[in-house]
Amino acid sequence: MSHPPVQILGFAALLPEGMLTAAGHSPWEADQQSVADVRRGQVLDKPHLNFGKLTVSDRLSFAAACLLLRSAPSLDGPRTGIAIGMPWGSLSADIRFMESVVGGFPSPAIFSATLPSSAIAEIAIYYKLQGPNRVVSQPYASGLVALEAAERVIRSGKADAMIAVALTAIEPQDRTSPLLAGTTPRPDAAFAFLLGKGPGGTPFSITMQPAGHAENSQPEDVYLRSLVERLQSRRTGAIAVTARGWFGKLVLGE
Amino acid sequence: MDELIEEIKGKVITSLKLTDIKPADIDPDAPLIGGGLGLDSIDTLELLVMMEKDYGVTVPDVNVGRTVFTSVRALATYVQEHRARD
Amino acid sequence: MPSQVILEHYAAFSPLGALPQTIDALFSGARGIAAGPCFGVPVAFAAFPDERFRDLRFAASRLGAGAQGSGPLLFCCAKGDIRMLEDHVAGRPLSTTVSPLLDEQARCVAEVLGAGFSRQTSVSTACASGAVAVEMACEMLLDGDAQNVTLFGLDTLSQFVVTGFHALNALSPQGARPFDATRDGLTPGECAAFAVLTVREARPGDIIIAGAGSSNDANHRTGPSRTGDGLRRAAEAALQDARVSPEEIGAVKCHGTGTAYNDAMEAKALAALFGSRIPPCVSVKGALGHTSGAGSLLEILIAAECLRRRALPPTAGFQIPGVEEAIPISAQPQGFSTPSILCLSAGFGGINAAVVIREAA
Repeated sequence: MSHPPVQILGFAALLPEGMLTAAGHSPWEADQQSVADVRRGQVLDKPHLNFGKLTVSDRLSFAAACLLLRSAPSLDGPRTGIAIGMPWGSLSADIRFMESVVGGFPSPAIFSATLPSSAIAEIAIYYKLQGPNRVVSQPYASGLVALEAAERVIRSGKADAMIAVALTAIEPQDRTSPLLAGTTPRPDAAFAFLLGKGPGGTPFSITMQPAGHAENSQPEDVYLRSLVERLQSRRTGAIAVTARGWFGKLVLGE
Repeated sequence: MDELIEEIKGKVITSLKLTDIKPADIDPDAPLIGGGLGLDSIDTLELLVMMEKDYGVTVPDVNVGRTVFTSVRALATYVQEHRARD
Repeated sequence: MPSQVILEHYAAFSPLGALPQTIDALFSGARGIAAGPCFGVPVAFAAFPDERFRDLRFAASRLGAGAQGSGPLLFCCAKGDIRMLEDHVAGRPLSTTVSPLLDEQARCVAEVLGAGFSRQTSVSTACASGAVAVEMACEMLLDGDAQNVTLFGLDTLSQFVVTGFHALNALSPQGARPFDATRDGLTPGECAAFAVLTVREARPGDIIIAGAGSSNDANHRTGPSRTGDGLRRAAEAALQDARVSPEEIGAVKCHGTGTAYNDAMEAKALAALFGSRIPPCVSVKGALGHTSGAGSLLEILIAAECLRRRALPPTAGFQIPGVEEAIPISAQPQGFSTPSILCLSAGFGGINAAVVIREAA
């Protein structure tokens, strides 16, 4: 039995140079040093009191989803799920929580953010998205593998739409932590894609597989930017992925 | 007491990271829980940690807790009465 | 005959010992819960009888000996082995070389098991990690992407986890009492679990993973939806995936943590799902504690053993019904006749996951 191809129905990105959606690009304000300084008003029109409570990872993930869904068709909550890829899980929150323990005043709020899946919670709560969730936590290609997992959920029939978030977020003080096991953090960034059955989107497929080290491997965000560029210019075709330890192929169009 | 109320408002905002709220937005007599600040159960627990850390004040049980969180003024009054003196 | 997902091999270690000992102990009504303090926190806890299992490499080597996987390895846990992070932040000499990064832990498990896995991935969806890993494994196997999937989970008692749950006011001083009128919180526990799933024609006596489904409550950062709606929908998705109706479920392995909210919510979900004919139910968390993300896999394996016996063990810690709905929870073993069990898990972030297992005739 053949399945109709899954489509990408929308995208948004929070990048070092500014915010990006199908509608265009807007640079950060002068006092915003990094993507982590994103303000609620830049992604959501109405006040949202929980926004500031979110840890950096959860805030970027939520902000990217808000930017994506600002101009998206309304979603069928029970049939829409969320997938997220993040390089180091909830590492910054884990360190902050352990610091609060060592400091004698363990923080309940930080503890509730010490699971990679907490980056999904605010998106699910705010938009009432009750479908399946997938969390990919690996230093390289986490977002691409999350995109693959999201596509698979739709093909399995368990959801009609998925928000796939590719996130790189780590607090500045943790960037050189020995706990990063030799991996080198890229600048904070968050990409969010709306996957669904269409119509009106760009059909796409993605397969990722582990591979040995390749000389020409690129960081994941290079491929995600390439994907976004093609979606903006409605160019179809294949993108071959060589990320550290991962090969893959992303095909846009039939 | 007014000074303490303003101080507590500031602490509520910083410890709960309510970045969209200014002290002037908080009515000192409005309910803290279930009021306009959108506080959930984790925020309540976080406020208890703040009280202990910044004022040396503990809340012995849930019933006392309920009266303490009826408003910022109630919280400030409780802190005033129980705070650790240096 | 169609191919189905088969639970091919499995092993586990819990606060009541290796899986066979755990099952016998559960049926005798034993509790693996000790009085506190636990890492300085004044609460009951459930610990491995052999502390060496807290080490990822030791647990993997003991449980996964003879692993033959050529397909993916899914490492499922909430926090896994978190000692390096604790030691580093506390400024202590490191007690382990295992990284706190879950992908590194998955890699470590793959190395220890020695098989040529096609990929290793961590699945960390809070306390539903094991069940979500089973759901993902089924997708891979039924898609034709893999012939076998190996699952390994480890979650340990740690200062990190125990202090965190204590900060959330979620722990019972005395020990978890699932669905009981006097329940007052969960009991932290630890476990290691290993399973291999394959896809082939079922043979009589096989345990089949008949279906899986998951959902999000979309309600609160840590608390479940008060209506039980999310858990009900995950269960319905699993039943639909298994192509069975609620009447065809023989028993339910509940999440049953022993907190006021979870058990009340779960009871509503069960009532909404089964109507007036709720099959026999059990929670093992009053005996083993809440063994977290890896526990979600352990409890599916325990359910498989219960399925073979057509009996549920007592719900240790339960005495007086403490939820509004009439749920068949018992302090005695309960027999059942239909050879299928619905396994439920729920976790922080509102994630719910359900798995239906069936014994092949």
